[in-house]
Amino acid sequence: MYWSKKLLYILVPILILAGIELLFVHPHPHFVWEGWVGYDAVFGFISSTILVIIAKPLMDGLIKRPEDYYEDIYVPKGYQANGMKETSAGEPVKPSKEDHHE
Amino acid sequence: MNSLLAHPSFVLLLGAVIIAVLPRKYKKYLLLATGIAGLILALRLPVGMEYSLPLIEGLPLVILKVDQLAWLMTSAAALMLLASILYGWGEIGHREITWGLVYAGASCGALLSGSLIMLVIWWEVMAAGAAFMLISRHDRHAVNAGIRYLLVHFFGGNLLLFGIVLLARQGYVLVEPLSRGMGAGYWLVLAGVGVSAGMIPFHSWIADAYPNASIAGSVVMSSMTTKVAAITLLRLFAGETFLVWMGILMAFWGVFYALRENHIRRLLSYHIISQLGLIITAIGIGTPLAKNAAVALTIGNMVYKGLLYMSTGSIYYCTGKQKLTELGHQIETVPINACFFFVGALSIAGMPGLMGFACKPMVMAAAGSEHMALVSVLLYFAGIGTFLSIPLKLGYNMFVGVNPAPEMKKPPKIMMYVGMALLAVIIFIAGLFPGRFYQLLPWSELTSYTPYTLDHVVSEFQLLLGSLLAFIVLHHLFKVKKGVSLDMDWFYRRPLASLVLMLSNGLNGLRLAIWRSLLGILERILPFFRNPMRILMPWKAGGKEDFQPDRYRLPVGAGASWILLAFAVMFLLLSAAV
Repeated sequence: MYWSKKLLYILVPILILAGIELLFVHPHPHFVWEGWVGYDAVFGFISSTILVIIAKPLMDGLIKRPEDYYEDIYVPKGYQANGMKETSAGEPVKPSKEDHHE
Repeated sequence: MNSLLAHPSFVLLLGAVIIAVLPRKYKKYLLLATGIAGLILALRLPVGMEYSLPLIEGLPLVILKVDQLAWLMTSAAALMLLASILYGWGEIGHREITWGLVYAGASCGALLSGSLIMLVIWWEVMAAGAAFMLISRHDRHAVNAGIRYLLVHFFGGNLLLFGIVLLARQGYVLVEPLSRGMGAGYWLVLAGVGVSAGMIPFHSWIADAYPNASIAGSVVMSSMTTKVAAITLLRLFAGETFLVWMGILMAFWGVFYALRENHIRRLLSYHIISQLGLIITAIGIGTPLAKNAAVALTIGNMVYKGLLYMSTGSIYYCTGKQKLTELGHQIETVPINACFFFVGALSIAGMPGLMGFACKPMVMAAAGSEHMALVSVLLYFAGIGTFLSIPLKLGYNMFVGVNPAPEMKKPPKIMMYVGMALLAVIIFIAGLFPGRFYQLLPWSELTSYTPYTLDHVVSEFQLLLGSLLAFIVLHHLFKVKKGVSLDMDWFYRRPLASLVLMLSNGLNGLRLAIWRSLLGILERILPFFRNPMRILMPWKAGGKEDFQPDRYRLPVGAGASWILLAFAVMFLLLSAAV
């Protein structure tokens, strides 16, 4: 695994912090789980995982749309926003007289 | 009258009017002077001052009411205005300057008003100022976003006005805590303020408007409307349990969308919704500690969210790009900017030593001291998303990332760094000496909260490291992708737009059908209006359509006899009638 070294840089401080918590902190927790050693690190890891799994793979299927989804809904097909007609090459040309009349 | 001249809105609005007619090259100097004067006036507002006029039936119209909360928030708003003036030095559009000052003036006015009706007047001015800030940019997207902003906010403002009128009928006209017993007015005011505070069905204007503002404009906008709304909620609805759950919903909603977003300033805007969620939850808890936490978090958000908007805005200024998929390795091109970004980002994530650590854990502590276990856990849960979305996702992809650095179009301005430095200094001062900061909070005598205890610091670092671990292990899930995420604004940007388009097409079709049938009728009867000579004297007309005076001019006597005949007929008719 290429990120195993990076993991070490994070796991070691977590363990050190947990050790400090075990030895020096005498908490007066509001809730019982706030007194558990290393609770916050585990909570952080698990909740990050849940958040990103909901945010990315699960919500992708429901609400992901292409980037130009909201573009130019008010503009009829074949026209650019400034009222110029688009040619096949994508180059705007001035609207001719027939375009204005019915 | 003297007390009205001390009103910071007065000088800001006066400045806006003068700047509007000033020659362009002098505008920015007067803008700076107005910003400084506004800040000085806001800081010098004496706590306890009140100025009111008699309104109908002996009810007072309290134009200016200064308490500790109003003083603090007005000063913070004026400070953010000054910081964004410095940041946008020479880059703010000429019309935008005027509307920005109107907007800031109205925000200060709303914070200082003591009457509900005064509040709603400033509320509408604020909406118009912000919308015209957007519309005055020469950008189609910004103009469209500005019009949508105006529609959403006038809807909210009308709900507020409706509620206030109902409350006024029952005799409640002052900005004071309301209670559920007041009936429909209570809920209408809550909904009206809720639209501006970004409550869930009406939150998407935040992510729509702020990314489309100019770089300095988004700093001002992010620190005014939503924050004024949060403070209004605090004044009117502290302790309302509905707000606790609405706040938690907002905190999660904002985080999920922020984790998905590709556009850098839209990511920050979605994250505002999440932070507003924390503030609104604190308001819902409603104890003095929670109310203090709401105020601290509001000010903290103005400062560090402002700094984040500034640093991302200056990357947009330099590269012209604001999609994460087009950015990367900015730490090599704008290292100072990267430092400022990470000060703001780590602060908002709650890193000890920065302002966020002094504000955010207060909310959790308030929930804890009320023994709200579920609320506390959910707040921590949503709070993790801040660290994931801003320093890790945004910071990593923007400043390191996998993409090559885009071409620098222009270097950042020195004045941008001045604006950022001003906010960064505040972040460090409030983070390192939280006691000084807490003294300013309105309910500081009733509460005691010490952020720097060993267990707070240790658990905060554990939380951050735990999420960092998840970010590294699940890095493939955090990869940014192109695309937009549908949100509540879909309803008024797609179905409503299609409906309007359909109605207008239908009406246009009706118009064309009428026009075509008229043309058809005209075509049928046109032969009867041809050259009458063809019918009367075909031998003279010679079958020709066009009139030829030389060929068939009638004698003068014919015309005269026609006139005589008409005269005789009229005379007979009139004499018969009389």
